Amino acid sequence: MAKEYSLKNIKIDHEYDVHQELALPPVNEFKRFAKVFFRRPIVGVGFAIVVLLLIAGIFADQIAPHDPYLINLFNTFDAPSARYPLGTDAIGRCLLSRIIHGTRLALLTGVSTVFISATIGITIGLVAGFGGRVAQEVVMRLTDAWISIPAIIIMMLLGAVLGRGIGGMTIAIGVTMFPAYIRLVFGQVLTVKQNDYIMASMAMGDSKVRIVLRHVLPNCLAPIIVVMTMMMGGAVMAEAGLSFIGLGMDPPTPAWGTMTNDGRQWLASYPHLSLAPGAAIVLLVFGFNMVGDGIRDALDPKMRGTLN
Amino acid sequence: MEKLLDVKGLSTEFRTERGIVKAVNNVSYHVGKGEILGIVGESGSGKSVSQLSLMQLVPNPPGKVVAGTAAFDGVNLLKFGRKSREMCAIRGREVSMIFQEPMTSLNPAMNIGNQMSEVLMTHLGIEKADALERSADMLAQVGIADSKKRLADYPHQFSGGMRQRVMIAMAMLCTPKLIIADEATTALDATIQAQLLELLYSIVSEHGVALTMVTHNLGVVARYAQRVNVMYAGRIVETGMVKDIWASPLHPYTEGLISCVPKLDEKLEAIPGMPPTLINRPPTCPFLARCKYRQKSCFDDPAAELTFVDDVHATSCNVMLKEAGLL
Amino acid sequence: MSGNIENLAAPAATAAGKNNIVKVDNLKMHFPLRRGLLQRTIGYVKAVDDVSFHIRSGETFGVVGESGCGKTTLGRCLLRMYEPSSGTINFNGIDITNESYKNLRPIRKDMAIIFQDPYSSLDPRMSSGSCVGEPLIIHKMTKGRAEYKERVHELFNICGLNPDMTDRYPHEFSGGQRQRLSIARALAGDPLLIVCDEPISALDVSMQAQILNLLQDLQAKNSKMSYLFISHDLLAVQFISHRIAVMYLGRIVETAPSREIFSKTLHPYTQALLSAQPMPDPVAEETRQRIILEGDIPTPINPPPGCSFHTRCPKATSACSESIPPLRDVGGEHYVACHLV
Repeated sequence: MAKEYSLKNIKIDHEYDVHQELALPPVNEFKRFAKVFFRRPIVGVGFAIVVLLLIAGIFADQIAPHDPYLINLFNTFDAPSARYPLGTDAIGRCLLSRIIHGTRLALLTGVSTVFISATIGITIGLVAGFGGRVAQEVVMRLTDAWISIPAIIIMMLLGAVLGRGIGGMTIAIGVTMFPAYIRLVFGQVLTVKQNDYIMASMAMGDSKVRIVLRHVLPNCLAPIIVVMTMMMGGAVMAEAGLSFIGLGMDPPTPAWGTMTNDGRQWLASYPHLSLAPGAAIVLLVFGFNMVGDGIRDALDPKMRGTLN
Repeated sequence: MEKLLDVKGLSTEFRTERGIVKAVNNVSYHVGKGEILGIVGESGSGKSVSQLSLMQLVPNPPGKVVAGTAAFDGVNLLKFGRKSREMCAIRGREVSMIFQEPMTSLNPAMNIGNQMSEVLMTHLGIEKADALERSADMLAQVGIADSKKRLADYPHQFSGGMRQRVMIAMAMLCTPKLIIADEATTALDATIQAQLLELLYSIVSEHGVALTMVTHNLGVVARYAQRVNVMYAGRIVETGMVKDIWASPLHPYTEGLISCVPKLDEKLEAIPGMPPTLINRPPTCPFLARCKYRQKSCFDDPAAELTFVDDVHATSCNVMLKEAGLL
Repeated sequence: MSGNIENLAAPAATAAGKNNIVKVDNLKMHFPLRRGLLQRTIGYVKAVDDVSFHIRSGETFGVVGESGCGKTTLGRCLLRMYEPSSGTINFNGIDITNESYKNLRPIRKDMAIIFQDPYSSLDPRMSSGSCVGEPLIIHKMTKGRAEYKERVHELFNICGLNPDMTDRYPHEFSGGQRQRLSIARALAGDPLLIVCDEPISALDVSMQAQILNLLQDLQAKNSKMSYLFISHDLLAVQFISHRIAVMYLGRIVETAPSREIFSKTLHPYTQALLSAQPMPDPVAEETRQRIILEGDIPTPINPPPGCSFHTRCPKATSACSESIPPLRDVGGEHYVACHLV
């Protein structure tokens, strides 16, 4: 019978008394991120493209075989050769060198427009999301109205007013793109606000500004980073579009959009004059989109396995 | 008692980033015909996964049943494919499951009548009109008023408690031999939970259906179950008649579990520490780090198999088994 | 704060002579229900409806009830997370009912909250040490980095956590440990009141016992700290509370010293709730009769007229649907709101 046995008969040996077990072993967040990020080969390709473009942009002066502004009227429309890997354009400038230097401009416009639009959008989004019901309604309806106006019209208008050149163009593109951030941040804030730690901070008597900056913003950041990366591609596209319709950079500057437009006249006989800078645009947009995709996967809590 | 379900050496593993999780580790038990068996344990003890494994419902990947047999009425369930016709015929017809969250088992875009009659039509091959009538009867049996009219309602039109009643009705539709209730009432309020448990209890006793109650609530087991399996870290650490185990638990974890439920006018004795991770466990007893009865030998010896000290009462405590001269 | 030290150090059982840390009178919290384009108010959710109670210094006041009974709203009203519809809330001698967020900030040092969900109550982007130390920074309670660190270590130790883990992030802790972190954070401000909103419901049984014991030990060490302990688990509430209030649809239906709620249960709802709780004792369960209530809990949007429990009450008479029974004193700090008692 079971009655004979009992734990009560067992002498407790205090030498082997219980101890508290420690927490879960630490996890290398960076390793985990990298593992998920590079899980899809195509993301790796995109990442490589972005890295190459960054190198090309930063070290353009060292990498480019020729001066991108150097006109050589004896060498117009040269076919690709060892001296001119992508040939020359209508006034004999090295196409490859111009594309390499164009990278710098493309990345610069991309980064600055994303910076401008993100700053405006995130600020308004945070205020709207953490503000009262009235603030939310007003901001969201104004955003809806803004989005309903075609982006290209706003860009052309601002482009015309602010004039040609990198400053005007960046502002024009940045201002068109910020509503996307408002919506994103607004939605994120509403989700993050539901978390108990926000209420805990309020119950502790934290100031609202500190709550927003210390708790709300950091927890909204992941999807914002994804969108910022993807928007890099969009900004470069917009820049190319503006240049293409003649609202972008002034002629001698090597801008991919302008180059694509210039090459159009000789599309039938020398298609590479348009196709090469066009391909550069495609590569950059593709690269940044893939990197954005990878970051999104890596930040997805569902991919976190046992962590969450 | 005649064995309805006889599980032997069941093991289930999950692949994760950190390594292989042995969620269910060499589990053997049986359920008699018409018997009510409780399975208690905390989260991660493998109580739910062991039941999902039997029904071949463990998501694969990452999960996989790696060993064991589960003879149901003499037929090994684990030899069939996950999506085989045999397995589909058993699920819902011979064995029904009731889960904690009814909304995950009910189709939100289909009315209750269609969902219920579909079960009858596929399993028993009866006509739609008959199936609807039987569904309405079943709903009435689980205490849903106006059952004929409510057949046309969609799941969201029912309250949480009512939805769980619908789940019980669906589980009983084909009069199965075994119902597995996996934390079926955990999410409900106390008074609603009491309604549902009494209902489930009376309905299975009336039809002689065996019931496996998976729960973390010792009170539920104490009231309704005849026998209980106590699970810890993927293993059954003790099994026996509920009354015997309460009177004299033979595993330190069981003892701790019973004493850490707040009772009237009694000091609370908590189990220190926390449950172990199930990855790369050493072969020693998984409860070792939290056990107050542990001896020097526990640090060296591998964890004992679940060993019977009499006909129904078994423990896997090394110290206890040594004391009883069984190890 | 008044009250002398000898009094505060007295054991909880003699709490009767102490000062009230919280005094709530006729508190109502009605949330407007808005619909349509113009967000017109079409009704009110009467989450808390005419509730009065007090909590003494060093006392644990338990609030028990099922979902939708308003227990969580009540706790949050007390911390002024919401703007009450009417009534008054007095905290530590100050009327905080209509105080602005800004004016409340210094008062909040003396109150804290522990939540149910250990996963959403800690900011995942902050290290566990920073989470715990937040109140210290908000209320500028420590001077310099060293003192801050020392205090955080101390809080970790008090709550049974390893102080070497202050740099770890919350997701590296288990549910029970995260609840300990929440408790450590709540203690950082050295509060007079901690609202414990279902602090053990999301935890495993063995962890529940640890947390209950921890809360009790902390109160034993600091006898001027009060808890408002909210739970649906009667056994846990009676274990930790000195007095208990039972809520149903926004109202307190019965309140009494913890022991008396079990030994002298008066309200039919309390009786049903008690009987619905499965007791972990197979021998007692064999003979125990259960009162099984009919039907579902009504919504607090349009609660039944009269006594809101009359739709499910096994003893209801016609009088019950006509007028709302007031909380009546039946002696010995026992109050009950039932026409039949």
